[in-house]
This record gives sequence, C-alpha cells and structure tokens, in this order.
Amino acid sequence: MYKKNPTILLSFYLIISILILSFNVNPSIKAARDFLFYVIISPYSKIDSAIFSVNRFGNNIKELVDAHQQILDLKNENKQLLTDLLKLKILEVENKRLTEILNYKKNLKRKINIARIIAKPSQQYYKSLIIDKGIDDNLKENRAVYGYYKNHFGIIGQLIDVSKNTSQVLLITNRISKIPGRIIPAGVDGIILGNETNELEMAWIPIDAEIKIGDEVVSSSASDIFPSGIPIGIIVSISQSGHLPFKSAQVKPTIPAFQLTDVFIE
Amino acid sequence: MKKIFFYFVSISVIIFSGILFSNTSLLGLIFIIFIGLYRGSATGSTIGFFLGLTDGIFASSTFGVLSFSYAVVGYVTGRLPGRIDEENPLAQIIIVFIGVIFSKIISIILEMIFTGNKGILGIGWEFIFVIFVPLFFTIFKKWWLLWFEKLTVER
Repeated sequence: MYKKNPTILLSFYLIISILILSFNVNPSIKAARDFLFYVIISPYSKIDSAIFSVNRFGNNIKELVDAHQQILDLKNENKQLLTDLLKLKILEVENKRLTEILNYKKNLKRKINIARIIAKPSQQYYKSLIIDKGIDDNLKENRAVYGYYKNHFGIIGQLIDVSKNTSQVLLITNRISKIPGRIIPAGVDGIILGNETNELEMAWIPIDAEIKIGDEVVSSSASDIFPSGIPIGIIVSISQSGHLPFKSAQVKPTIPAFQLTDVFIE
Repeated sequence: MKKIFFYFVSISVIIFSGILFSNTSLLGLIFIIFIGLYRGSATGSTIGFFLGLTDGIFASSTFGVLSFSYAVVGYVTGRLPGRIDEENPLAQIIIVFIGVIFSKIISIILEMIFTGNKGILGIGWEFIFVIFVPLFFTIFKKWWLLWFEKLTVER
C-alpha cells in the first residue's frame, strides 16, 4: 500500500526529520543520539581494536623482546649497584668505627698501640685471639689489652705469646686467666676468673661486702699488668661460696672480645 | 521480511565501511540512489530516511538533517522518468553527482533554518568517488542478486 503513495511516505519521513531537528536542542534527543552512537560504535570499536592488535602483533613481539632485554640489563645493573652499595655500607661502618677508635685514642694519656685482630677461631671465642703486631712493634708479653665497643672501653686480656709480627692475647674469659678486680662503689677486691663463657666469675669477695647487682667491676691496684680503674664488667648475680666467709659474683664483661676487630695495647 | 533484513544488513555494512574509511555519506548516498532508481521512490525514501538517521549519529551535522535530505534524494531518484537508462554508466555518474549536490544543498538550507549556521557548498576530494559509481552499482547489483533471484526496475 505504501508503495502506491510514496509522497505520503516521504511526507511522513520529512515530518519526523523536522521534528527531530526542532527538538535537537532537547537533551533527551542528544542522549538518544549518544546512546545510538554507543550501540553502533561498540561492536565496531572491538573489531577495529582486534584488527589494530593483529597489525601491531609483529611490533608487539619486537617490543616484548626489547623490553625483556632491557629488563635483563636493568637487573644486571641493579645487581651491580646493590653490590656497590653494600661495599659502600661496609666502608662506611668501617670508617665510622676507625674514626671512633682514633678519637678515643687521642683522648688517652697513655701510650697506646692499635692492633688488628687477624685470627679469631670460633672455638677460641672465649680463650684467645691473634693480633697483627709483635716484637717489631715493641710489644712484649704481659702487656694489657683493651677493647672499645659501643662507646665503652675496657679490659679484654693480656699478651702471652709475642712473636715477630703477631701476638696472642689471653682473654679474661679464658679459664686460666686470673686477674684482681675491684667492685665499685663498695671498694672491695676479689679475683676475676674466666670460665670460657660469656660471663666471668669474681671470687673471694668478703661476705660482708655491700655489693649488689649492677655494680661495676674495674681493675684493681693490686694488679701488676693492668692500671687500676679500667672497666672489666658489671655484676649480674651474686652467690655464697659454701661455708667459707666469702661470696662470689657473676660478671658480664664490658667488652665482648669476639665482636672486636681491633684492640688497644698499652 | 527478507528484504527488511537485506536492507538492514546493507545499511550496517555501509555504515561500518564508512566509519572504517572515514567517509560516511557518499557510499550511503550512492546506495540510496541505486535503490531509488531500481526499487522506486517509496523504497528509496525509506532507505534514505533510515540511512540518513544512522549516518546522522556519526556526522558532524545537526541530527535530522541527513535523514531529511537522504529521504528526499531517495524519493526524487525514484521519481525519475522511466526513459532514463539506469544501466548506462554515464547516466549513473550524472545522477549520483546531481544527487550529491542536491543532498548537500538541502543539508545547508536545513542547517541555516534550524541552527543559523551558514554552510558552504564544497566539492571535496570525495567527488572522485563519483567516477567509480558504475563499479559501485555493479557491486550493489551483485549484492542484491546474492539475496534475491532478480533485480527488476519498479519506478
């Protein structure tokens, strides 16, 4: 039927077109147009992106290989930088430690040598250690050896075997080490014995001595080797010595010798 | 029903190829003129209206302008006298050329009336397309015969 009246049909289309044109400013018309655009363009955009992806496939592979190579290069570079950083950190720590030691040495009135620990066997942690100075550096046996650790200075042992360029240090924690010590502020003396652990034993303390945990133990004036008043450790426990009129104390050394890399020798 | 589906598929293909080659109007206009010449003014104006409506979504022109102008072009093409040989390539080129100009003039007038924008009738590079109109007509005929047994002139 409509084929017989094409003019009416055209008029109908033209009226619709004019109506659309008249309401073109209306937001709902714009929204409808946007919606239609989305409906039509969505499948197209997917097809288009698929074609684009296929075209880009070769380039993508190349970029992937290049990127992979770049990642490998960057990983290597990063590894090298981390190694350098680690070296710098070690040097920084070493530098700080040496600076502290040098500053401390400047403040000492006594004539002091600094020696580097060259051997510290694990089974000898509490017995002895080897340093890189000897007779050539004017060292002799029975010289006091000190350590400096975390801003603390203290006795760690004495020289027992001095050779041309090296020396052996007998640590105060060694079982054969026996040095006189004094508890301050009580001012009582005792003998500090090594027992090859991380603690020392201070024996022969008069039973009436007023000592307590936390008191400092220093070298006694009775010692021929160590000058008096040099820190040795801190009392961590006190016990009675059987029926004798003495008591003993467990002492934590001021300086953990196995942590050191350098020592002072008087 | 088959014809509706044919027109729907044709319009979709034209729209998508138009988007693909960034030229939404000329291929559609050639198809409208083809349909108008062979299937008459009722079908020509209907296809023109719907194709214009769809084209209008993507075109920068005001929505409704293309549906109006394409419907008119489809209608006028279907109203051309029967003595004009639609199989003649030269006639095809001239009809399409005039149809395109006519459509542009209608669009400019409508834009001026409804939006106040003064359009310029420009003849761009897309008019080279007009030379290939016989080729497009052949393709459209093949496309029609792919769906239907024969293509008879009904104007």
